[in-house]
Amino acid sequence: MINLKQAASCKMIFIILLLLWLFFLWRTDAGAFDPDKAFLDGVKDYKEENFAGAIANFSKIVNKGVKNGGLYYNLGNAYLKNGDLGHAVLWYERAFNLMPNDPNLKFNLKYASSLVKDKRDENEKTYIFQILFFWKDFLGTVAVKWTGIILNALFWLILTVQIFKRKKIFKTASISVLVLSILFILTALYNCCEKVYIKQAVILSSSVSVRSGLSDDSTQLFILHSGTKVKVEKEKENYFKIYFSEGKIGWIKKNEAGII
Amino acid sequence: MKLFMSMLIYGLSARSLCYAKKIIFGILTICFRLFFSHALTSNENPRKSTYSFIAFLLIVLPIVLIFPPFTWAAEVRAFVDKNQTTSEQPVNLTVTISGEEGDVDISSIKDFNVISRGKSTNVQIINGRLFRQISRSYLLFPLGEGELTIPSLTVVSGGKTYQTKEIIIYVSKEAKHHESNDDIFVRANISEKNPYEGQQIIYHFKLYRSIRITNANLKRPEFDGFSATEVKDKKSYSTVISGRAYNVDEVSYLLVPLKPGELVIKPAVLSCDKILRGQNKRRSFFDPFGDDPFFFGDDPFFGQTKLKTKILRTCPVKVNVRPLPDYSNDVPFSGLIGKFNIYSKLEDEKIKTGDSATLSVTVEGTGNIMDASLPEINLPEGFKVYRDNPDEDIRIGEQGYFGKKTFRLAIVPVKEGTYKIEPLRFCYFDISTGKYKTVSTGPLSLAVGPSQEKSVFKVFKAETAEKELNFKKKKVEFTGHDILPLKEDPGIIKNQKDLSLRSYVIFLLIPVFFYLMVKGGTALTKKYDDPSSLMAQKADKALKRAQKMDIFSDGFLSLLYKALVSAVFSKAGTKGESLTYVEAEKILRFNGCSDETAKQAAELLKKIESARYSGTGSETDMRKRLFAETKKLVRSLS
Repeated sequence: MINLKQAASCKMIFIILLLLWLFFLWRTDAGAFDPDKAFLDGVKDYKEENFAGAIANFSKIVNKGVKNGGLYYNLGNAYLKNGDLGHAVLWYERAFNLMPNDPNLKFNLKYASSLVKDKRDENEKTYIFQILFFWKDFLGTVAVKWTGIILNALFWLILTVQIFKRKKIFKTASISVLVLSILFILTALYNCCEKVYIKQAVILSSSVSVRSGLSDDSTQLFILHSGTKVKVEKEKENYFKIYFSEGKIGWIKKNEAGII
Repeated sequence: MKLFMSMLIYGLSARSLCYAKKIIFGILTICFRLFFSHALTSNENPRKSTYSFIAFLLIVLPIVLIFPPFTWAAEVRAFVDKNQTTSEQPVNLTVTISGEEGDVDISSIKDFNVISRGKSTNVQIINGRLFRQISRSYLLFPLGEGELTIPSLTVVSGGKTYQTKEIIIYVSKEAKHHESNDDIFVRANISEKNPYEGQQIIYHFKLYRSIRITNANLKRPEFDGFSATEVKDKKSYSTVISGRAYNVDEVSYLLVPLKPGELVIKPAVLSCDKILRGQNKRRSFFDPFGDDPFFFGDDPFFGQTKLKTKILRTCPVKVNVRPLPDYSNDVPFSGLIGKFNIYSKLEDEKIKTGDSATLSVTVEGTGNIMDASLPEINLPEGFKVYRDNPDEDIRIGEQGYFGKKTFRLAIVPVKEGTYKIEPLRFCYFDISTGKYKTVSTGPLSLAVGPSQEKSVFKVFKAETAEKELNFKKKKVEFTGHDILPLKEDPGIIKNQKDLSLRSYVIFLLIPVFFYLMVKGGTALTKKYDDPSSLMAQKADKALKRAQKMDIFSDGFLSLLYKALVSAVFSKAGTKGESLTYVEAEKILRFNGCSDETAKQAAELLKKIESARYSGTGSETDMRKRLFAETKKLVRSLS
């Protein structure tokens, strides 16, 4: 009797284990994500003008943590073709941070920006910072970083050469290169700080009321439209305090804008 | 409480108010049926009917008392301040809507020029009844004389449409008025009262003022039957009329009649505020005489001044547009009306077969020059023609559009010979004569020589070809708008490498380490190259060799000498091979060694030298002692 009982319980355990194994096997298969397939499907959907499908497929890859300017660019394209200007500008801007010198991206971003309804005040001041540190925006973050590294290496190389050959020309060159390398390294470090501390966002909703306070009852100060780029000055509860242009500051809901 | 409820009700939107009315009406109906239907249909006790009536009153009265009596339907009224006026005097039309907000359609007013003066709202409580009235005011300027009509106006209020009553206004001729007596007046005139269809004329609106005004607002006429373009250059000048000086501000419009017949340009209306000086004008510190308009004395905010609104209207201007006469000519009509000329030019008169010559045809003049097209060109056979986009230099001025339009053609002969290009004929309507006029260019000739390609191989130069063709480069414009395509490289689904701050710092430090390593290496190498070190090594090496060697061998004493001399040179920091004991003592003293050590070294060197050359050092003990002393001294010196 005991043997029979033991045999039955062993059988049960075996069946349960088998079922569990099958279940996990199924789960593993079901949960398998092939980014290559999603990418190809996204491209196919885009070409077939199924832009919503393209967005879904590209978003799947992005949600897996892939950070690539080209992929962001594709997402921007899909959103723009799908008529969602806000998300299109958001993804183009994110792509721009990663590949600022891509000509296709520049072209599409410029085109998308031309569709944005909100125009900044023309008489807005050009900050002295932008004039003095013109290379910051001109070269882009990656180029500034590498220029800093190269100039730094060049400086130390000249110093090394100076150990063996002491000539006046090396001294002049080393000082010039040192000044330039410090400039670029500091700019690169500033860019890193800016990335962490100065956040920018893009308005996603077609029309967003910018209010004076953190509630829907607060006075509507002005209205912004999708695709408009703003600076996020503060986050509080479910709201962003945004800066659009001189004197145009207010609060918007977090879900109405996307952080670049 | 009642007032509160009234305010509450009136604070509601129109739709909510409509629902509220329906609900109250429903309640009243139900109450009436509940209390009276039974009493009316049966012959019950009359006392019961009385009770029902009292109960009805008890329920209905509070409702009636609490809720204010509504204006159940909006009331709409239109009225004027006068129904007899002159052609120069405007009429004030007011449309009142009682109860709710409403929109008035004034598009049906055709006999008057209408200017909206805004709206006002009036809320009153009279005998516990709350009245709300919205008034919309309009200023109507008669566009004719006699019996003019303000038609029934449509008013939409609370989702319903209402009609006002028709109003008749009797407009009489304006009595002669001397403008010269006015401080401010307006005039309108046109450059040509009898233009031809398509002829451009200029409409001038002039404001004459001898006083200062502010808030000027011009409502230009509609210019029905014309295409109108504002001439951007506004003029301001001074003039004298009947001995009185006026400042004149002039605005001009370029008009082109679109159809023949009698057209009327409706009056232009200008509203402005006259700045009047007060009686008790305070003299400004900066303006003791009070005449300088730039100081506070005349300033409406700082000075003792008043503003008086003035509305001025020009007379309607009649234009008799003449149709163009019938056209019958073998040269096709170009469609241009005005005054034009045409000329042509051939850049090169002698060219070779296959080369190109630029033929430019220019139409120049005043009128609708922008509509000019290239007249028909009859080129001899054997020419290839390439057309370029025409160049336009067209401006708008006092006489309307003027300028020139140049057409360029690159003509390429394929056969040699002498060719004549026939004059180009061009027909336009001359407004000065009122007739169609044909103008033509002069004849041109072109000599085509044989191609050089037959004898000489010519290297093609892009720049030269471009110069010869004389095509003006133009900026490339977008003809459509779209975005550039997707990136299809599968590599974009991989993470883009980005330098983290830590990696960046490491990259910056790598050359620093490299430099330090080189620096350290050279420092070490330098140490070994030092003569002092080299001589010390030499001394050490000589001692070691002497130790290994048999003490009676020939080189033993030489090695001891070498070790000691090297040690002395090492102390001096120089290189050398031999020394006398006197020199050795001096060197050691000079380099900071004690007198005792210097003497010891000199003595030892003396002993070794005498042992080497005199043969006194042949004893074993002596040699051993010499080795031990040398070793000790070398160690102490190094």
